[in-house]
Amino acid sequence: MTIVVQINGVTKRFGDHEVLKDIHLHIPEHTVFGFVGANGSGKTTLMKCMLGLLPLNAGSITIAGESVTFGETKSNQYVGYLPDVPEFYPFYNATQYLELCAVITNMTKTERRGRIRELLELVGLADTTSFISTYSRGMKQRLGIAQALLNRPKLLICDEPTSALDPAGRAQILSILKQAKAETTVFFSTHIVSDAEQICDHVAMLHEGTIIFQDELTNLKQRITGEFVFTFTIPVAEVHDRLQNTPFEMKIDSDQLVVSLLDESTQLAFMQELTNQKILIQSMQPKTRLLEQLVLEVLG
Amino acid sequence: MNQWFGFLKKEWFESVKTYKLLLVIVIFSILGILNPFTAKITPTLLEQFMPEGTFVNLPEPTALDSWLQFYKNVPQMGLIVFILLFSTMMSKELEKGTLVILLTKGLHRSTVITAKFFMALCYWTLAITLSFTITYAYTAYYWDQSQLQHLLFAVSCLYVFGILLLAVTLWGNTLFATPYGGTLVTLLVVIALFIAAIFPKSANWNPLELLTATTQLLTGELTPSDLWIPYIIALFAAIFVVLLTMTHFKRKLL
Repeated sequence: MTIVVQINGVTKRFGDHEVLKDIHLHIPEHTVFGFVGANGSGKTTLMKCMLGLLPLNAGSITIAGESVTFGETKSNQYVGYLPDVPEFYPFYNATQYLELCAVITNMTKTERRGRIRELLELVGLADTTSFISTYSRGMKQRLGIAQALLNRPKLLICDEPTSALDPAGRAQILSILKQAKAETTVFFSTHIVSDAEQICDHVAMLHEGTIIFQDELTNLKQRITGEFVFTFTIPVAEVHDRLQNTPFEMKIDSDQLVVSLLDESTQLAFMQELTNQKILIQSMQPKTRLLEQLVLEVLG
Repeated sequence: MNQWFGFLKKEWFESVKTYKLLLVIVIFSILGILNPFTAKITPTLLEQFMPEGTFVNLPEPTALDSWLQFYKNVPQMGLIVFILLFSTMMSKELEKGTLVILLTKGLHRSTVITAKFFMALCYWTLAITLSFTITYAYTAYYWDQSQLQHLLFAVSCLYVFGILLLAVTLWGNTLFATPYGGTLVTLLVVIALFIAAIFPKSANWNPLELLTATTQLLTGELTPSDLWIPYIIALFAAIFVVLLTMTHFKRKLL
């Protein structure tokens, strides 16, 4: 798998305050990479470092093989960026603004028109001709995504794209980001963990300037739970009563028996006990924990 | 170059939409009309407001009086209003964050500074041309202007001094990123030039001479060669300040 972003040992200080502490992060191509963390944890700072808007105190960042430098960085040719509160020129409409962006990115005239049309359709602004000054927050976010995708970037960086939107607006943005994965890699920060859970392949969590965990979402869900959910051919209450004198830790949850089986020997012992007691299993599956629970556990 | 013209087009569009074009045309047209008009009407007004029976022997106004009004009104009112109009050209963008998206798209930071300065320069050229042309035409209607010396050079002195102040305003505005930053820095620079002007020897180099020596230029007491040092200093200082602004902006955290 190709790695689009390599962040190695990045440290960023503002005065005496160390906002990012020895960050290491690798983002694979064509994934949606969720960057989770509470407000003020340093997510925006890391993104600004990735864009060359802030200088690093230590470490290095490489995007698509190009080293990021402070100020005018060549690596930005591979990046599309959506700030948390995107600000546009209010006297333009969406098409005019995208035309300005196209000129800045040195797009050819012939390529420009088709691409702008395509993106406005993707974000649902194709029929909007009014000035940006009249746009709602959600419309601005959607225009923000359109401008970020304009030059077909290898990396789309979105800073809290859903944080101030209503549920419908959030769903729209998440859907667009999911579609964008086909042509780019999406790196988006959020403090709304359920958003990350909905669309991400990979998740990393930043807490007090340090990466607490980073992995594929499916691995994260599985690796931290030792619980299994069972249903039986007989009522779950009866099973619970019959297994009361066994050493297994269990509880009834929504007509299912949730049993804590941390290792393979315990799992085998439990299966043996069920066989001894002639209890037939209808279904058995590992209990996945919501990412939110994991985050809450990290935050204590 | 496409990028530069693209951003310049945005600057133009913005200035029209925020009524800068309209304001510059209206203000500097009024000033252009006001100069000969004030010169023509002042003696009549004075006669009207004098106590009855007072005899005042006022000389007939001339073309010089009209141009003296020009060099009083345009720097004192016109230039101040102009600087105020363009005093937020950087801070507005920096405060709102509208530049961030474009800069991350590869817009050169030097393009931002040079395009903004160039647009302000175009407006200053329009303002001076408009005011000068109207004053010239209106004055020619009433008086003979053949006695006046170095008319074009005198107005170019005012033009160059305005360029210097524009550059200083842009620098202050970029450095402090607040609406008052540019105005404050410009004010401090003008005060410093006035303080320097207390010392007679400073007349050899002080760009403020470009404003104060215009009357002597028109009467022929001074010639362009007497002012070439302040003239060149003002021009080079303006270029230096623009380069300084570009350096500051390149290192600015956004």
